[in-house]
This record gives sequence, C-alpha cells and structure tokens, in this order.
Amino acid sequence: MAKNPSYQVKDLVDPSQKFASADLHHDRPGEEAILTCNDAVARGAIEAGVRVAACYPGAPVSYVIDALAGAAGVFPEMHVEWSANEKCAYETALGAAMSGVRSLCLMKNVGVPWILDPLASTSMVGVGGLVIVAGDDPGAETTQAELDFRNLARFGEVPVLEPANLQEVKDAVRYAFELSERVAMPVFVRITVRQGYSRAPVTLGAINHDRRRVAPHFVKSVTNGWTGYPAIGWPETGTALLHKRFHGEAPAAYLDLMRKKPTEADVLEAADACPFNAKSGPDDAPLCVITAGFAALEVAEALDLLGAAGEVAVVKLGMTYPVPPRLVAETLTRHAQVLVVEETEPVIEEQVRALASEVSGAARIHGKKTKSIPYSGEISSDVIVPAIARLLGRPSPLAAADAAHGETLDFIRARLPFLVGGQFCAGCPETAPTRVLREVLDDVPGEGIACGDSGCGFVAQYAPVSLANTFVCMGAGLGVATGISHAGLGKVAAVMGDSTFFHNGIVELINAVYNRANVLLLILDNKSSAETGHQPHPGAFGLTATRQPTKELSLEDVIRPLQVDYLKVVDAYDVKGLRQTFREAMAVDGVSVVISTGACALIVERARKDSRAKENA
Amino acid sequence: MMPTSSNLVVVGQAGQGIVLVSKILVTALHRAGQRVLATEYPAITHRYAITYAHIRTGDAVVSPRIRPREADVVVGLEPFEALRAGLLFARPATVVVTNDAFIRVEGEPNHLLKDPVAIDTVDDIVAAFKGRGIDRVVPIAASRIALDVIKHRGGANMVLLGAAFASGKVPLEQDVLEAVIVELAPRDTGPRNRDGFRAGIEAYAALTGGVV
Repeated sequence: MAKNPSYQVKDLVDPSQKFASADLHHDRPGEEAILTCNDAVARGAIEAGVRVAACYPGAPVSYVIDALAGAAGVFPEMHVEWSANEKCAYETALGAAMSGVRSLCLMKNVGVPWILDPLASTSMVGVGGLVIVAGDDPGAETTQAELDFRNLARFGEVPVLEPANLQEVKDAVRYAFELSERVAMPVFVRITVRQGYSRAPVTLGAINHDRRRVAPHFVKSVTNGWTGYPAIGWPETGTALLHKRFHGEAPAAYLDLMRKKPTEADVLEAADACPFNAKSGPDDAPLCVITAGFAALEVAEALDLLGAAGEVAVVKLGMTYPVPPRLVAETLTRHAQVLVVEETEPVIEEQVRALASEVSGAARIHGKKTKSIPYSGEISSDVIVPAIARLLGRPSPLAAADAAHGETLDFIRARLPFLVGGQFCAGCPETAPTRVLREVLDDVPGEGIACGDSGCGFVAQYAPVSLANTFVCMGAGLGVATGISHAGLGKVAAVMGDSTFFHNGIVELINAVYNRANVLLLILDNKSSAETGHQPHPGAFGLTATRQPTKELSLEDVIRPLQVDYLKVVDAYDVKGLRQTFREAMAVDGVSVVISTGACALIVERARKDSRAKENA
Repeated sequence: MMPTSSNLVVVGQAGQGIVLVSKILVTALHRAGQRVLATEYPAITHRYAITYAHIRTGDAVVSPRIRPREADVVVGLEPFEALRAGLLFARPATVVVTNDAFIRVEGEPNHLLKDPVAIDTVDDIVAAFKGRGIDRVVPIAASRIALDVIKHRGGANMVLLGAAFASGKVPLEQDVLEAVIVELAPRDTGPRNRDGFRAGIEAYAALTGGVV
C-alpha cells in the first residue's frame, strides 16, 4: 500500500554523527583516523569489499549501518539495509553469501538468539564470505541479559574472532571475510559494549574494490548446493552427513558427492594460524595469562601497574571458539600456572581445561572456575591486578585504592540508594498513553496486569509511570500477556513500540487472535526505532537505510486484516480520547488493539532546529 | 606546566551533550599529536539516566577505561550525576567541575532516590564530596551562562568544558580545542559554543582565581 510517508526530511533519520562517520569510503591506505568502534567495523567490511550488509538496530552496533550507508551512496553495487529483525538480517546476508558476494550482518546484544535456527541450519552447508559482528554486554549495561553469545556460536560450531583494540576490530572484520571463505562457514566477530562505544586512532587499509564488484553467481544443486537437507545418504541422512563431514566422520562413498568444506580440521588450523594470536613476555615465566578481546587491553594495563610485564607471559587469542589447540597446548606445557582472563562466561577457560586433560604435566589453570576472575561485570584492570598479584605472591598495588573504593561503595549504598528507573523525555508521545493506561487498569475490574516490552516504552515499568509488570525481551510482552490471560486472570494488557511490532510483535498478535486470547495491546507508534537512535523501519519514515524512498506500512492497515476484536487509533496527546478508548478496549472480550500515534519528540525538536538553522542561513 | 597525560570523566544525564564533549576532546587531543583513547557509557537512551565518558591521554594508555579513583578531572553536567560518578572516579587530587543546575523531576533533584537524602542544593553536593575527602570541587552556573552566551541551556557542556580546560588538567592548547569545537558543534552553533567555552574559562577563573 502506498501511503504518504510520515516524514520526508532525510536529515531526520541521520543520527550517525554521534557514533559513526559517513566518509569511510575513501581509499587512503596508511592514513590514520579517529574512528568509533562502529566506524571500525564498517571500515573493515568496506576494505574487505562487502556487498550486502543488514542489521536490526541495537547496542553496541546500532551505527554500523549508518557508516555503511555513506559508502553505499558511493559504491552503487552495495546494498545496506535496516532489517525488520535479526533473523531477516542474517538470512539476507546468507542469501547474498550464497550468491558469491561478501556479506555482513550485525547483531545487537541478545541479538544472536534470534538467528540460532538459520545459523545452525547453515553452518555446515559450506557457505562462506559471511561475517556476523555480534555484541555482548558484560555488566548488562544496555540489555536485559548478561549473556555470552560465544556459547551460542558453539551451538552452531561457528568460529569466533575476538579483537582487542579498535585497530584490531577493523582488521579482524576484514580478515573475517577471508577466513569465512577459507573455512566455508559463517564467522563471528565479538564486540563488547565497552569496545562498541569507544574511540581511538585507526590506520586505514586498502579497499578491495574488485571483491565488491564480483559478478554474483548461484549454484543450483540438491546434493552440493545450499540446502541443509542434501539429497544424498543412506542410511545416514544428508543433514547428518554434513555434520559427519565436518568432524571427519563421513563415509568415503559420499565425500565425492559433497562439498569439501567446512571441516573441523580447517577451522582448528585457522585458529592456530589466526593473525591476531599474540605472545608476549618470557617463554619460561612460571605464570602465563591467556586472554582475548577487550580483556587483553586490561591485562596489559594490569601488568603495567604491577610492573610485571617482564615476568608474566601473555597469550592473547585472536580466535576464541575454537581456541588454537597447538598454541594452547604449548602454553599449558611451558608454564606452571595459567590464568584465563575473559569477559562473561568461561568459554576460553573450559576449552583450555579440556585441552589440558590431553597434555601431560599441564599447567594449573585459574579463572572463573576457581573464582579468580568473576563471571559478571566488565573485567577491568582493577579486577585483574589482585588476581595476578595473588598468583605472584605479592601485595596488590591497588590494595589501598581498592579499600578506599570499597568504603565509597559502602557509603553510596548506605546513603544514596537508587531505585532503578527512568523517565520519558519532555514532550514524549509515550507518556500519556502509558500513564493513562495504568490509570484505567487500576480503575476497571480485574487484576490490572500489564506486560512491557523493549524500546523507549521500557521505562514505563518504573515509577512514576509504573505501568508494566513484566519485561522479557522484544515482542514478548504480548506473548506473556496471552499466557496470563489463558491462565485465567482476565483481560491483560501489553505494550510495545512500532518497531517491535514489525520485529516480531505481529506474530504474537496473530497467535493471540488465533488462540482467542483476552488481551489489550497498546502499540506506541512514535514513527521510528527511537530508543536505538531513530532508525527507519517498515512503518516509519518511508526511507531505507540509504535514505531512498520506500513504502511505509501503516500499522492500522497491517493489523485490520488480522481480525482483532477491537482496533482504534488515538492521538498520543489526547488524554480524554486515550482514557475513553482504553475503557472501551478493556470491556471487549477478545483481542483489543490501541495504536497511539505521535512522532518522537526528539525528531520533532530536531526538525524544528534544522528548520530554524536553514532560515538563519 | 601542561600535563602529558590525563584521565577525564564527563558525566551527566542522557541528552546533555556528553558524547559531543568526548568527541571534541578526542579529536582535539589526536590533532595535537597525543595518544588518546575514549569510551562512552550511553544510557539506555532514556532521559534522566546517567551517561558518562572516559577520555584518556598519555603514552602508557592501553585501555580507554579509567580505574576507580584515577580521574584527574570530573566534568559534571548535572550536580547529582557529578556526585554519583565523582565518588567512584575522583580522589583527593581530582578537580571536579560541576554544573550548579539540577535536573528536577516532580520537584526532586533525583526522583530515583530510594529515601530522602539531604541534597537539595549544589552546596550539599560540594559538602558530600568534601565528606569523602574530595575538596577541589568547583560549581559553575553553566546552564545560566549557556543561556546568556550560547542562547541555549543545552550549551552547558561547552561552558563546563571551558571550566575543565581552565583547571589546567586538559593537556591541550586553547586554539586547538576551540577550532575543534567550532568544527564539531551542530548546525550553525560553532561560534556560539566557542564563546560558551570561553565563558566557562572566565567563570572558573573568577571563582578560583585560577587555582583550586
């Protein structure tokens, strides 16, 4: 349906100046520039000759697409998109890689769980040139779960690179494309939030224009093409044969019919050959630290503080799943003690422990399993220093500072205890709908339960709005409300944003209608993915990621055919209308949907400022 | 004498221009030929949530993250957030420059406080710092100065950057920093932001005589 786009001003969807640059397409190898991490990811992909890139926005990779969009304006063969969700992004990149062009997809923190099905279904089929840059959030600074996606990479047996500084981020992303083609698998690059929001000088490399311009091609074969169910094998299934081939277990009779890759042997070889593996310090040191990623920078700071760089060996791993087997085995034989320093889960440590069981006289291993390094939180040098000092048998140089800091934390907790919370911006179109819905829920008969969701509406769970009683993940509010209603607690409310509706909320709504749930869904339609930086989505702006005009879907027109029992659109600032509408919607037995419309106040304010600046000019 | 290394914390509430200050400092330090790293802690993108940035310069810097009690300067765009972050990252030698204007929600300096705390004025903030051994706290009327000079309270970030610069803890020449401010300030606000920066320098000097 062609509608008039809600906003035609391209500047309105240009949040990139904060965390991304628009001029990363210049071919100036050797030049040093200050880049953000999002810039570094984008530049690495541009240098590799990326052709297709896709992402659903979220920390810490929200701005890579903005940076790539600038390049797409210069390189006409590039396609850069905001996808409706992570699964769409992965599958877009996958299809492009199956067509022989290099492709990139980006996953926010807690984004990788959304792609596990297509990832696990394609990791063995032999597709290469496909890079997934994925975020993790040690300390859960920006997400609802402090998870470690490396465990999910292991689920699909997909290699993971972990760059340390921003130079390595850029170089690792570029290298990941080569690696992906060599091993014929997708390759992850892990970025933590602390990296993702950092800035540093980075030396640029050359851009591989030829690789970007390569002619796409596609292999149509049901035996060695791109299907996860290849038409070979008996009594084994073709799918099992893909897995068997990876681990060197496939019967010889079938090998000639199959692609030769991927194989575990190639991946392990690549792990040991990874150019981002590095050793420092004395070979005969009694203690060696095995580390990777951002934690490697903190280890360097810690050793500097301890003055121990000359007496402690450091093995920095560039690939952390799988770990380089020969390098780790050699390390385990060379040193008496090994301390594994990594962020969040003991993914490296568990692999090191497994390899140690095969090494005679292996080092004693310390890490998260021995409580030397914590699981939760950012693993900073002030955490690492005491751990190394203990193993060296000397006092920590930070002991006095740690004690003083501990006293300060005690003071803060005793004197300045904070409730967690937030507040909508002044003029926010989500304030009235959420406050009025809480008022109505408290007034009408029933339990007054509301289920929250991601997006700016996230803050509606806190005082002073106090609307939502649950928060799970994107789109889950309506699903949970559906379950509560089926449990017998009457009509239950759910609230989600417009971007979340297109992400997966529409499926939750279809399920609620089909299963005759008794729910009220409030969609806060602020005409953008506001929380992550006002990115366009299928229902906002009528613009693509590269600022090209496209169709803008109307929520009302999309929802009406779904046969909900009540549907009304209300002005987000019409308090009386909202109150009346919520009362009507709550009185309906079945699925009610209320759409409150009002563009994000920050967009409106930005438009006003832009307009004034143009007038002044 | 200008220091050769520095750890700078910039803190406030989401939307106060903290990331812009970080970008300006990093760009200027790099342009001045100094090794610089930074990392930013954007809030979950909602108002009244703490946001801060760490900017580190010096030859020995490897990680952009500043350890507790190792900030040389804390720049607070909102007094309560200056206290929140300042207590974590300041030590007695640290200079804290803070806005004197609170952001109030429903009359409270910070509505998220679990219990009433006797912090209603910037003097209470200064006293709270002093109670923890941090004496070098300079409250600046940054929002008011910004309104006068830049014609927008949102320019308080540039006023406070000027005050931080005046403390002598930011290893940069004034002309380098001013050129970057003019270059990176949004839209047509460059010259006004530079003037706000200069007003911050004057305000700091007027309050301290140039010494804290």
